[in-house]
Amino acid sequence: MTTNFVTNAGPMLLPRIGLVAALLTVAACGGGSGSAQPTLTPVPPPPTAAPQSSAQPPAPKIPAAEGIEVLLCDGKTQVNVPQGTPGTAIAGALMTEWLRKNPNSTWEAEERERHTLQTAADNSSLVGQVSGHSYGKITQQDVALWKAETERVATAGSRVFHNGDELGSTIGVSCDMCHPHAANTHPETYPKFQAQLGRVALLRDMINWCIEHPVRGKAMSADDPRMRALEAYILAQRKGKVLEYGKH
Amino acid sequence: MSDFKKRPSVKSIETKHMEERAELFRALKSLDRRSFVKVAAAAFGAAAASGVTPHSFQPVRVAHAQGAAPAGGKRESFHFAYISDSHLLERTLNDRFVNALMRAVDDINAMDPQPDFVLYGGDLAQLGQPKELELGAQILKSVKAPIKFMVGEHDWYLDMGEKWRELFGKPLYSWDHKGVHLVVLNSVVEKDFWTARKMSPMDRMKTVAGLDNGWQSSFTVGDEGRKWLDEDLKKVPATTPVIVFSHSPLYKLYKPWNFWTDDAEQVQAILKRFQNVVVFHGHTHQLLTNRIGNIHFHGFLSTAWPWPYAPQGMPELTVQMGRPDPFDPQDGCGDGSAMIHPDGLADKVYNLWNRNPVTVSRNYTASRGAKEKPAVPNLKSY
Amino acid sequence: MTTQTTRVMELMRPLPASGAPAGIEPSFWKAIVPADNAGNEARIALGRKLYFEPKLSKDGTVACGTCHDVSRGFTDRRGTSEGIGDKVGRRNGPTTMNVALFFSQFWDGRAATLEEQAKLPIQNPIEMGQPDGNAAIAGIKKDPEYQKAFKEAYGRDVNFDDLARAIAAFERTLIFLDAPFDRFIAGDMKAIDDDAKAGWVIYNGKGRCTSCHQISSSNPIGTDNRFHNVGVSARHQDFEGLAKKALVALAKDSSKETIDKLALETDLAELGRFVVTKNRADIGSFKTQQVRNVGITAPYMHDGSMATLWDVMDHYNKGGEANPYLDGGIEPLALSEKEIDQLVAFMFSLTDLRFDADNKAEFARQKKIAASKRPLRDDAAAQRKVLPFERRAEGKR
Repeated sequence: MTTNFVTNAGPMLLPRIGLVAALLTVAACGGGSGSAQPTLTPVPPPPTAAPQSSAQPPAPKIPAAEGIEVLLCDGKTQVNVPQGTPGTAIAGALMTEWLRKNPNSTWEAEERERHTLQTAADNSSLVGQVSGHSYGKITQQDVALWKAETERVATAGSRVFHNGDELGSTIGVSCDMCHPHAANTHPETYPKFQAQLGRVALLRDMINWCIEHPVRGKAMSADDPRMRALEAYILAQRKGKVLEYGKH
Repeated sequence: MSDFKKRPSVKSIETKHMEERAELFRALKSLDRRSFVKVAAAAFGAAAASGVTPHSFQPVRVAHAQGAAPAGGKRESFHFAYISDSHLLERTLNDRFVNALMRAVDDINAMDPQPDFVLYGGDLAQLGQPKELELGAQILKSVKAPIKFMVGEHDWYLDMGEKWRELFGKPLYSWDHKGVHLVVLNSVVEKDFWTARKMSPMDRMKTVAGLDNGWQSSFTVGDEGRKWLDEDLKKVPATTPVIVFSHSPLYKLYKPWNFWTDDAEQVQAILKRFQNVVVFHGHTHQLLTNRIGNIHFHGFLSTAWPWPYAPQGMPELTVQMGRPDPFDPQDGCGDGSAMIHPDGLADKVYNLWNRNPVTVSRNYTASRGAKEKPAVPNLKSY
Repeated sequence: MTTQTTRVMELMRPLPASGAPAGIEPSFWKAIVPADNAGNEARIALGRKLYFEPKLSKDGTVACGTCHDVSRGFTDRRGTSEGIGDKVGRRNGPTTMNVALFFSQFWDGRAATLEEQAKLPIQNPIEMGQPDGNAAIAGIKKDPEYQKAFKEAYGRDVNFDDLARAIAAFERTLIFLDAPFDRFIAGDMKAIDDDAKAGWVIYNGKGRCTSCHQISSSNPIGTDNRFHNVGVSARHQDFEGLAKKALVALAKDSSKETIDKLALETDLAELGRFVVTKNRADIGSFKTQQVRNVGITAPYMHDGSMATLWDVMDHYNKGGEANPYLDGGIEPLALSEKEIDQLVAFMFSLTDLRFDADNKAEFARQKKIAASKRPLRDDAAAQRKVLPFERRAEGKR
C-alpha cells in the first residue's frame, strides 16, 4: 500500500479541491485497496489490428460490439479495448488517456521547480555492500525508490504549504507568507512546552495552531495526508539542523 | 549528517562573488565615474560569460573622506512617515490585513508634529486586483499629510501596472524638498518569465506573489529605469543629498527571496558621485540596515506580516529586530518615520507595534556601526 | 473580621506529603516559596491574624480582609476599592485566592513578591493610610500576644518586614484549585455540563483565550504572568497626553511609594505597567489576571468596569478597544451568542467547589443582569463588519 499523495489538481491553477475529494482520490488509487500502485509511465498505445498498407488507407476500425470499457480508479478516465488485449496494454492506454486529460499531472516536477526542496539523504553508499543477511542487501533500485517516494511526499507538502486553498484558509493566507522555504519553522526545537497550547507541543500541534489562527482554517487530524505531507516538507527543509528539543 | 570536517572548504556563490567584487572595486577605486561604469560593465560582461556575476553586500571602502560633514548652505532637517507592504485582500476575505493598514493610518495621523509627507512603500495589494488597490487607495485617503506612492511587485504583475497608473500615476518620479532631492523608483521590473509558460495574468501574479517561488525573475530597476534615473540626476549637484525610495533593496542580500536587485551595482554606480545617498526600501518586512560606500540603506516594516531573516547575505550593520511572537499576529509589524538631517542622512525610526520603537540613527550608519548601535534583541532568528 | 477568620480556617485543607498544595506541581511550588519564609503553623497563624487586623490602618477601620473578604470571593465585589475615610481608589481589588502563583503582584506588577506587596496598601494614603512601616506596627507593637506570635514565627520582635512575611505566608495557604473543571480534567466526564465542555474547546481555539490565559499543569490559574493592553483603559483617557505627564512626574521621584500613590490616585493609573517600567510598549498594559474563581470575583478588569462575564466576552468579542498601544493579539472573534454562553459556562466551572453555593448565586445574578443589559455588545465589530481601527483611521474616535 502506498501513501502517494496523488491528486489531479494542478498547483494554484485549479479551484480548491475538497478535502473529501482529495482523500477519495488517494483512497481510490491504492491507498485503501491494499494493492500497490505501480509507477505508471506512459507507453505508446497498443498497435492496431489492421495491416499497414501503403497502397490504400486501412479501413476504419469500428469498435467491435464485444469491446470492453475499462474504467480507471479515478472514476472518470476510461478506454474501450477489444477483448483479449493484454493487461499492460490496457494500463498503458488508460495512462495515456489520463495524461491527455490532466495536463497538470506534472505537478511534482513543477512544484520542485517553483519551490526548491532539500534532497533526501543519499543512500547510494549502501549499494553493493554485503552484510551477510537480507536486511543489509541494498540495491540501486531500493535507493532510487526510497528517494523518489520520500521526496514526493515532501513535495506534496510543499504544494500544500504554498496553497491557502489546500490548507483550508478562509482569509487567503498560506504558510509561505511567513515561512518562505519553510524558514523559521524550527521543527528541530520540538517537542517543547508551549504555554499558549497548554501542553508540550509537537510540530503538528504548532502547525495546527497556525492553521487555526494565522491561516484561519480548520485544524487537521494527525493522520490527514496534508498534515503528514506538511510535516515531511518542513522537516526536509531543515535538513542538517541539530535537534534541540525544548529550545525556545 | 554529512561529515563537515572532511569536506573541502566550499564557498557559497555569494561569498565568492563578494570577494570578487571587493577585488574589482579595489582596482577601480581611482577611476572617475564614467570610466568606472565602463570598466564595471566590461567586468560584468566578462564575469557573466564565465557564468558568474559579481554581487555585493559588503561596504566598499572608498578612498575619500568618510562621515561627510554637513554640506555647505543652510538646509533644515525634516521628517517623513511611511506605511508599507500592506498586502490587502478584499476585506470580506481578509479583515486582518485591512485592519492593520487602518492602524497604521491612525498612527500616522496621530503624529505630533505631523510629518512633511508620507511615503507608501509598495505592495498595497496582495494579488494586484483592482478591488484591492481601490480599497487601499480609499483607506489611505484618510491620511492627513500629503502621501506619495511607490509600486511593489504585488501591485504590478496582474495587469502590468494598468490599475496602479490609473490610481497613482507614473511609477517613476522625483521631487525636491527642503534642499533634498527625492526619487521614487520602480525597482521590481522582472524579465518575462510568463510568456514561455503560457501563464494567465493571475498565474503570473501568483507566481510573483510567492516570495520563494523560483519561477519568477530577479528584481531590477531595468535599462529604462536606470536611464530615467541617470537623466533625472544629471542636474543634481553632488553636494545635494539624495533620497531614493525603492521597493527592492537596491543591493544584493538573498536571491531566493528576491531580497535583491539584479542591477544593483549599476544603480549604485549612478548614485556614487553624490556625497550622501539614503535608500529606503520595502519588500523585506523587517529591520534592515546597510551601507555601501556613500549609500545608506534602511528597510521599511510591513503592516501585514514580518519576514524571517535570510539564512545568508545579511549586511554587517543590521541589528536584527527580535524574533516575532507567532501568537501575536501584529508582532514584528508596524510603520515608522525618518528624520532627515541637514546633511541628508537619516535617523530611521521603526514603530514596531507593541514594542518599544527602534531607532537606527544617522550616527550609527555614518560611523559604520561604531556609535549608537541599536540594542541586540533577546530572541534571535532561527 | 472574626467571622472571616473562622470561615477561612474552615476552608483550609491539610497539605499533601509533598508540601505543595493539591493541584500544584511540587517542583514549581518549591521554586515559588522564598527560602527565608517557608510556611509553618506559627507564621501562618500570625499572618492570618494580621490579614484581618484593622489596627494596621491609620484609623483602625481597614484590614486586608476589608477589601479581600473571605465571604466575597476574597475581593470586595466593588468596581474599585474603598479605603480609610471612604476614599475610593481607581483599581479593582483582585482576589487573594491563588495569589501565590503569580510572578508579580498588583495589576501593574510593581511588587515582585507577596512580601513586597503586603507592605504597600498599608502605606497607601487612600487604602490603609499609614505614613510608613513604623506607624503601621504602632498599633500592635505593644500587644503581648503579637510579641509572642512574632517571636514564635520569626524569632524577632514585632517589625514591619516580618509582618509582611507573615501575611505572605498566610496568603500562600489560600489555594483554591478544586473546581468542577479539575474533576473533569481528572476524568469525571459528568463533573461539568456540555456547555462548559464546549466552552473549554472554544477557550483553546476560536476564543483565543490561551494567548494570555494559559492553563497548564504547572501553572493552573490561567495567566501568562505578562502585561497586555486589551483596550480597557482606552475607554477613559487620552493616552498620549497621560504618558507625557507620567514621564514628567516620575523624573522627579521614581520611588515605589510614589508610583503606588500615582497609580491609585491620579489618572496615571490608566497607564498601567508603563508607570512601573516606563516602556512605551507597556502603555495601558495590565497584568493578565487568573481565570480561576472568576465566577465569584465580579466586577471585572483593572477598573472594575465590567459587571458580568458576558460583558467581558462582549469586550473581547468585538476586538477590545482600539488604541495606539493595543496588543496585536486582540482582534474580533466573531463568536456567536451560543459560543459566548458556552465560554461563560466554562468560566463558572472554574470556581472551587468550596464556594459552590456562592458560585451558583453569582451565575444567576450575572445572568439576570446580562439578560437585559449588555453595554459593550457590538455585533458589527464582533463579526468584523466594522474593523477595530476603522473609525479611528477615518478620524472618528
